[in-house]
Amino acid sequence: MMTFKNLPIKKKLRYAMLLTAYTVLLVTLSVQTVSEYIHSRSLLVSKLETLVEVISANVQAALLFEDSSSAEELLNGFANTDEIEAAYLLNQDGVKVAAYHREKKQPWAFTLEELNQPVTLFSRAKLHLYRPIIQDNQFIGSIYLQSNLRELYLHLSNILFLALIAALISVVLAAALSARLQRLLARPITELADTISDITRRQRYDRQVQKIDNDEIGQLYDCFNGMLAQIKERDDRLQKHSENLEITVASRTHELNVANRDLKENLSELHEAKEAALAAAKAKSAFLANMSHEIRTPMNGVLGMLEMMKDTPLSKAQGDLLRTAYSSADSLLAIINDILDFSKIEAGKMTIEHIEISVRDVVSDICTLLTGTAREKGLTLSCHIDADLPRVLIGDPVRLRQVLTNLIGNAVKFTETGEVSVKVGLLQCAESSARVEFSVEDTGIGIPENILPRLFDEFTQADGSTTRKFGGTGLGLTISRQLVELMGGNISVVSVEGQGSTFSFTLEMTICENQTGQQGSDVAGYSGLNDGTRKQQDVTTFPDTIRVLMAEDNVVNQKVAISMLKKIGIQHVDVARDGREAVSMNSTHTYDLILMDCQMPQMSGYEATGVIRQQEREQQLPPIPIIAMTANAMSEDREKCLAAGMDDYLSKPVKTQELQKTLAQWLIYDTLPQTADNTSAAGEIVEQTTQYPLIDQQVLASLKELMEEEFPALINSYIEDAPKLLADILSSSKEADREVLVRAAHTLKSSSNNLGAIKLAMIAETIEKQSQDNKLSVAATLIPSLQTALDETIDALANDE
Amino acid sequence: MPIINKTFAILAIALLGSLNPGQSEASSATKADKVKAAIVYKLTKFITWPDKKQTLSLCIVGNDTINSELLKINHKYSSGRRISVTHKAPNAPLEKLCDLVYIHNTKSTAIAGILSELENQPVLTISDSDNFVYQGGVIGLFRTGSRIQFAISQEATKSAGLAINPQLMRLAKIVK
Repeated sequence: MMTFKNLPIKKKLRYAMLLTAYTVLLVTLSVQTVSEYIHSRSLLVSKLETLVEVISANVQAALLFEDSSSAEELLNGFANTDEIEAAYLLNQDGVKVAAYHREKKQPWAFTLEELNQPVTLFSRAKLHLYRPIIQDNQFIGSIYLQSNLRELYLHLSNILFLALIAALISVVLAAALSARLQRLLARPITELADTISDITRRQRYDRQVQKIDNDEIGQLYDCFNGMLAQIKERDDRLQKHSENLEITVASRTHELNVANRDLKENLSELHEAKEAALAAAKAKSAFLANMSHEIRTPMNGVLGMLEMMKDTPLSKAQGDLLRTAYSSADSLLAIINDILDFSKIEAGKMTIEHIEISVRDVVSDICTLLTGTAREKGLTLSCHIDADLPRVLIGDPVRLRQVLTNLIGNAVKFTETGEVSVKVGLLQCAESSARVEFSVEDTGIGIPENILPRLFDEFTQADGSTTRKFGGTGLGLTISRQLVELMGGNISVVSVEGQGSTFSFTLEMTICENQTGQQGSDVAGYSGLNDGTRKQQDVTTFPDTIRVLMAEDNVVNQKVAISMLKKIGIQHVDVARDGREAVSMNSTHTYDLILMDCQMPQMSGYEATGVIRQQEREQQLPPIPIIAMTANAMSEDREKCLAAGMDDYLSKPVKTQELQKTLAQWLIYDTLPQTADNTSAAGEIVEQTTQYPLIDQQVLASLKELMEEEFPALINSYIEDAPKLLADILSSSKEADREVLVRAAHTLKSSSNNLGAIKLAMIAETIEKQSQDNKLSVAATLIPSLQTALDETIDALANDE
Repeated sequence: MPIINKTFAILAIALLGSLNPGQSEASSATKADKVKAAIVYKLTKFITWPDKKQTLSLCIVGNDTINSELLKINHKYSSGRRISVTHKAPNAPLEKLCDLVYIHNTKSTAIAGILSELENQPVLTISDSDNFVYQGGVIGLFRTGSRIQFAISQEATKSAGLAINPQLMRLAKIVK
């Protein structure tokens, strides 16, 4: 459906005009008709009033003298007037004097309240007029007229008819006029609309519209023309712009191409530069590795020889010189290690181990180690370790030791008087992890406030003079910081110049489930006093029977190693100058252990180990312990050695203590004091076994019953087999072949039990158990009693038979 | 026909007067007396005297019961004029004292004498005696059945210089 809003403007205008015209017409006609009606009524009333007045004037005498006939004569005069339906004349008492009726008798239409009051009343079709008659100021009677409204209605209908005709003419005229006027007003607008739509359709903005009138629409035309002109101008400008743009784009494209080419050239240059840098970095890395090896080898020689020399008879002056030389060499080694560590961290090659450690032991060891240095300076070094600290934690003992050594070493170095105090505190302890704080406090020279922020940066010491006075590379704190960060911690320092410094770091460490793995010392603080005695206890000497093969190409290293081995009691050392020689020597001789240098001519240590392991597999020999000795300080070396089939790893320069400790771990031997212990332990066991009877006769009897005729054969086979098993036990015990030993002892135990040879079975069982627990030496001490018991048992059985 | 009726009316009035001569002497007024007095008063409203605006002087000649009724008109107004009622002897100078003269219960000869005295004088003469208008009187009252009617002498009116409202003329018996 079309609403007014969507109509074309022509129709809108026309409807507006027509509506206005019709409304005005309607109102005017209505007003006119109503006023005409009112006017006609009043006309009618006044006409009747005139009549009444005339009658009243003429009827006074008749009324006064109550002459009805004369009055009726007068009233009959109404016969000439059509509209009068009835007339009554009343005297002053309201009594009818005379009456007139046109057609039939008309009743009164109303009741009078007061006789002397005039009444004018319109009913539907009648006009009632009542007037009192006054004569000489006296009410003498009244007249009542009843008129029909025929004439009034006739008049009104005439008027209405005329009005309708006028309205009809007006409607037609208005329609015609509005059609014309509408065209006059709407034509410019519709023309404009047509033009605009035409322009929009054809996209031609160079057209103009022709103005018709000078009114608002005319202004609209002007504005529209102006707008068109502007659009045209913009079009032209746009055209020009786009042309310019094409040129610009072309030139820019060209520039871009040139730039691109340049960039490509630059890129290839950069690529080359990057390759060169990478190559340089690689070269540096290789150089460092080589340097490490090359420097460590001579250092090994120097330190080893100096250590040897300590044990030769020297004069006091020589002793002093030797100590100085040793400490200088030791410092040099420390510096080289620092530089190597630093470059490793810088290269991102430093890896942190996660193995079970006892923080308590690590800290105690360092304290013990540095107590001596501190005492030499007249300082007190005290270590306090939290009693609640879990025994076994997961961490990197080497790096933790390195950091603590560095911090405590620094503290001792920069403190002239007072004390250095090391504290290990348990900050927080959860189910599976502990937060451990390590702090080192000194009463030293302190650090100026302006240095503090840069303290952990590379090559920083408080100032140059410090370096001159105290020495050091300035890398220690940097390495410490980086190591602590690698371990997931954070290092910080609090210091007041001249009063001392406190370095502390906190590590988040996992608590190891197995808390019995390592035996820690329960001593909370160490003083340097009991240090020496403990060390003395650790030094064990090896028995003469031990034979060691050492593969080492460097003569200095050979000498150092041989001296060290001799010092710890190993006299029989054969030397192979390369891997090949080591393999051949190992196959011809029987050794307890091989010390293997990794880098050797002809055949490297790795290769030689591989060959030896292969031979062992082929000949089903027990694997011989092979311990690597290498100057390769890089972190992957240990893995490389283990992957090659070696059992352990010693880093050059090797120190006597480390060598002794490692060998003790891998060699199977009977140390003299331990033998005594073992003998006593074995004695106890033997003593226990004597409690048992040699043979349980009950078991033997039941066996006899069971076997009947075959029993003697059974005893015979046992008497035959048992000594063979004993021989096996003996030989395997000597060869430290645990498996054979266990197997033989087990067999002897069960066969003896079958016969009721309880004592023998008990001793065999004990040997089996001890061997299973790897206490071969204890097992060995039991063998003689086993032999005795066997002899007795065989005798008893033979007699019994 | 109306004229005849009016004649009868006059006759009736005359008869009525003659029928009760004794009673008319009595002090209490009859109904006819009241009607007559009222007629006298009403008549004044339709008559105009030359040069008379303020007062009208009604003189009663003759004695009868009607006198008391007529005296009630005293000090009444008729068309703005104040009426004063007096009793006069027949020989009094009526032409000077009276504007209206009501003559009753008087001998015919005496009436003639009064009428001749008042000839051409602006005095309205009214009487209920028979043939009064024929003797030269202006208005005569007479009885028709139960109604009292009146007759007017045009000649007497004219000679007296009085103007009588035509409405009144229409109701009256006109005598030339």
